[in-house]
Amino acid sequence: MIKVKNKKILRALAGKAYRGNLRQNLMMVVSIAMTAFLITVVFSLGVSYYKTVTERNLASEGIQYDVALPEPTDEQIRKTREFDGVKDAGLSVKCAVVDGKDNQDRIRLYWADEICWEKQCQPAYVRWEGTYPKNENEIMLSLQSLAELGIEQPECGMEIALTWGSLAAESDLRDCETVFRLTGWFEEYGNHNNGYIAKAFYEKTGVKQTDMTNGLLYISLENPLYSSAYIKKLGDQIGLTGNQVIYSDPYLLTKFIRLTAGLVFLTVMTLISGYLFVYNLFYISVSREIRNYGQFKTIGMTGSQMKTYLLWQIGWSVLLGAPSGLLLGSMTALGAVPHLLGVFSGESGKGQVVAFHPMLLLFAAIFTMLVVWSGCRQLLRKVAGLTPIEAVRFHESIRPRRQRRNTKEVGIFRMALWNVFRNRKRFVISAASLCMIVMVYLVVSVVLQQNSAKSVLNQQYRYDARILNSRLLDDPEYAGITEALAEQVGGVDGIKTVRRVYSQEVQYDYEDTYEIMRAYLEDVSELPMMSKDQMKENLDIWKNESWNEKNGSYQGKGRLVGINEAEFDVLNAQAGGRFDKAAFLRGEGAIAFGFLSNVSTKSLIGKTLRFQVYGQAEEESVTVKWSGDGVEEPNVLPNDVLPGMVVCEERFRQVVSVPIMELLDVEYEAAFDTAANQALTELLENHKDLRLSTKLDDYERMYENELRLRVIGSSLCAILAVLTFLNYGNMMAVSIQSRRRELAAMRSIGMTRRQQNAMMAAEGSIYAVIAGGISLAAGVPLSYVTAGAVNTYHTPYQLPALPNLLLFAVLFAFCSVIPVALYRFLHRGQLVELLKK
Amino acid sequence: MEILSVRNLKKYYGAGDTLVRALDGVDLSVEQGEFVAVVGSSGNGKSTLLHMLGGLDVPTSGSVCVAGHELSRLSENELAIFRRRKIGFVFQDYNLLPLLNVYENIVLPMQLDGKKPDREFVEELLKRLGLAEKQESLPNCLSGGQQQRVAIARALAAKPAILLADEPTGNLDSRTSQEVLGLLKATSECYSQTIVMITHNQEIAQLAGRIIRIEDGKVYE
Repeated sequence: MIKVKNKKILRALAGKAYRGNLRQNLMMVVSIAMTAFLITVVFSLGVSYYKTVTERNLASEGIQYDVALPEPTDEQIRKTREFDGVKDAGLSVKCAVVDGKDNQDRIRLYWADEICWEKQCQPAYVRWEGTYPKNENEIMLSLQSLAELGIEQPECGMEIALTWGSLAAESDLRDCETVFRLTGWFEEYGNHNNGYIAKAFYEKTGVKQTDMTNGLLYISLENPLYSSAYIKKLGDQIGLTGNQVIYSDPYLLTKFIRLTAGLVFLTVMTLISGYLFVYNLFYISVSREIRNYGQFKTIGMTGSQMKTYLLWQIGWSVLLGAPSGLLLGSMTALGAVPHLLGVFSGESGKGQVVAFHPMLLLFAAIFTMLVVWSGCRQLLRKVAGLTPIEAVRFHESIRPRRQRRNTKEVGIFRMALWNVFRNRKRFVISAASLCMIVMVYLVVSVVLQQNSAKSVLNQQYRYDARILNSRLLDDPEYAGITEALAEQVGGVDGIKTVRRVYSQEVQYDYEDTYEIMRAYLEDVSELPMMSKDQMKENLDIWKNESWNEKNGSYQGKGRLVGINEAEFDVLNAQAGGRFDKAAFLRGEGAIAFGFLSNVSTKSLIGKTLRFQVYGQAEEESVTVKWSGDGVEEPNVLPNDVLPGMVVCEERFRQVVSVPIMELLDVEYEAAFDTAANQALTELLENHKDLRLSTKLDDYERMYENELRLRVIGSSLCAILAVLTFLNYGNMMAVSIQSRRRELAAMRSIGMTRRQQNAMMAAEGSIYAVIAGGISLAAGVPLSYVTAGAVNTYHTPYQLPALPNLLLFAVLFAFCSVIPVALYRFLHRGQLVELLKK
Repeated sequence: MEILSVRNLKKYYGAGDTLVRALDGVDLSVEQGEFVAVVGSSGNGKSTLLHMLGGLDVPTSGSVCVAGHELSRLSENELAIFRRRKIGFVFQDYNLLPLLNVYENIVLPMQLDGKKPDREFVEELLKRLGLAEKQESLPNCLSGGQQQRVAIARALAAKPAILLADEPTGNLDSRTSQEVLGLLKATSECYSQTIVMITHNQEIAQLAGRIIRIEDGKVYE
């Protein structure tokens, strides 16, 4: 066959048609731009979320690593570095502290080996200058530390006189004065008072890498999404000793999968919305022009020529729409959302919320093309395959049904109902896009509610304020919280309840206890962070001499906890009322809590455990009556691996000769009561030995994160809502225009404008009710599943009533008002003219 | 009894050189039960006159009084209500509502008025117009003649003061046209229904009791 050169003529023809139908094509350009915009924003939000989380980790740690091993030996470091999948393992040892300005804040000095400094510290800094200290009197400090020392403009080589003390347990190096030479400084994402010194200085301090809480081996992995099994294997390989555990997040992979699922959901929803919008517009355009296509076919245009003719027009819309959408999306990602956050938080230039990368633009462009192509593909094929007669006869509003039984009354509502369903495709697209936004809003509102600072804090804290006698760990006899103080706290205005928690160290005898606890201890050894060899070693020490030389403590240590009635009620509520209150308060038994709340204590029920209370010679015993599985322990000081025993206050006083209060859990009359919080803070101002943590203080810290989530979630919903409502408005406009003559005919036979307005409003309301109903039926389970998937804080599922009622009200109002407004706008002019059209 | 009276009715379009006098001082009076045909060639103002009589368009000046109601004094909404109570329309292209079946199309004006349709009368109309078997059919399943008969039934169902027919046979073949016109004439006689029919066809006009000619916006008897 001879090739016919018809590309030019097709292009010219398409150009004329494109210019002739400018309004419709402009809508297409806008729809593509909106789709590109939305994809760009969603993608950048995803990346920004990842960046925010990463930065948050860097901010809290100041170092880049995946897992860490405390107090590592040289052998363990060697084995870790040789282990498959370990990228870098750098050692850092905290060896000295420096007094800050007015002796208020202390600067911690670390020694980092070459790997730690180069591979793990440097990438975690915003910036750094200078070199790592080489000589004993050289130092490198964080900008925060320098500011603490009153140095705002640091210069390499400057001399800084510091008073420092060694962190070695038995060192005489206290209040030493040294003039250091500053070899460099660094800026961290977080604000830490720290600095680095040379190996020579570290050796001088006498601190060892195996000293408790001083040495830490930071391990960076090839695959940061490690599993618990991998960490267990690593622990077995390097041979954990004593109480050593690898610091890791056993739920990392699950959390990652959940987060990815959430982002995929949002992306899919965005792509579907874009698809519906593009499909809708192209469908309308084709429906309008189909008779012309029939004419083209009649005069000899082939199917593939018809496709080319349409593709030219789609191509021009993409060329105009996609770059504008991508540009607008980039501008929003870089400017609008961070600005919004700045406005809401009242602090301009608040950290970058939305990250951006040029590769995102490429991905967004590709996805936009895919959405446009999938939106047009089906209709292109349909138009290409249409015969001229089919095209001429095409009438979109005729329903295929031939007859319908008489209805008793043809009311306005019934006519509206028929109109809604007269073009099923149009109905499906409009309802689907409305459902989409309602479902996204439902899901986003549930996730936001679930992650709101108040929900998270209410879930995580069973108190409004906690006063902790933290010095008990070092001094088991330290009575920081007195009965008088507890009374004083209870008397503060706005405080409803004060729950007292007593605790004391106890020592279990191996012979008496091991067999009783065998099943429990076997479960402990199965924990991912535990090593079986390590467990065996600890059990041997417990069996033979109890004193663990490596830990500097006894094995077989546990804790006896005494609680008052108010605290019991909270525990029992958490346990679903399974504890017998009367029996507990009579001191008939104990509730046993497993190690890290991860090990079941059911095997101990009915068993009597004998122990010796710290500082007391005589042996005591309690019988386990209940397991504390699934309930949060009332105390916070560690129990070692043996279970914690919780008894009533009276029983505790019988067993422990000098009862010491570990903590007070305070409940306000109204949660987050600022006045009560303030009064309590003031009361404890002179008790520096006690640690006060309040829900309200944490709320203020968490509020920024909540705000970020709210701004991001609301922006996303707003963008999707604009797209959806444009889509709906467009559909309605087309529906009204295609019925213009019919509406005029109705008026000619006596339907008033008011009745037509009512019919339009009824049509919109039907859309709203159907979309609302479907969204509610599908959206609530979807929001439940999504919220469950991203529920990091285990907050209970809660559908926020007010925002969702508001959403349905807005949906209803919008869906009802838009058709009326469009009808009034499009159906202007003399009735006679409308009848002629 | 005079059911329709038109006094010095004018309808001008445009201004200056482009001024078109569609109706230029029309005076007309129609008695109860008359079947009047308005004839004239295209562009002479026939349809404009009909639209003015039905309150579908607003005159430049003059008055139209139907069944004692001066149309120029009615608001848009009042006009709509007036139309569904007092005027029946039969259009050239039927203007049936595609979503409603035959029966529903016929009773719609009454239901819009909040009235219960006179079922017996509607049944009688359907029988008389040969639509008894088609009352559950949708308009797109009917022939042109059947659709026009439905339009006539709809126009008559509310027992209007006047029935206005705009080229009712314009889209029909000659045999169907005769059939439709026969029905119009028969219903006019049977129900003493006043009918004003627009046509450009002299032959069709002969079926009416009275013929009015319209030329350059003026009427001649």
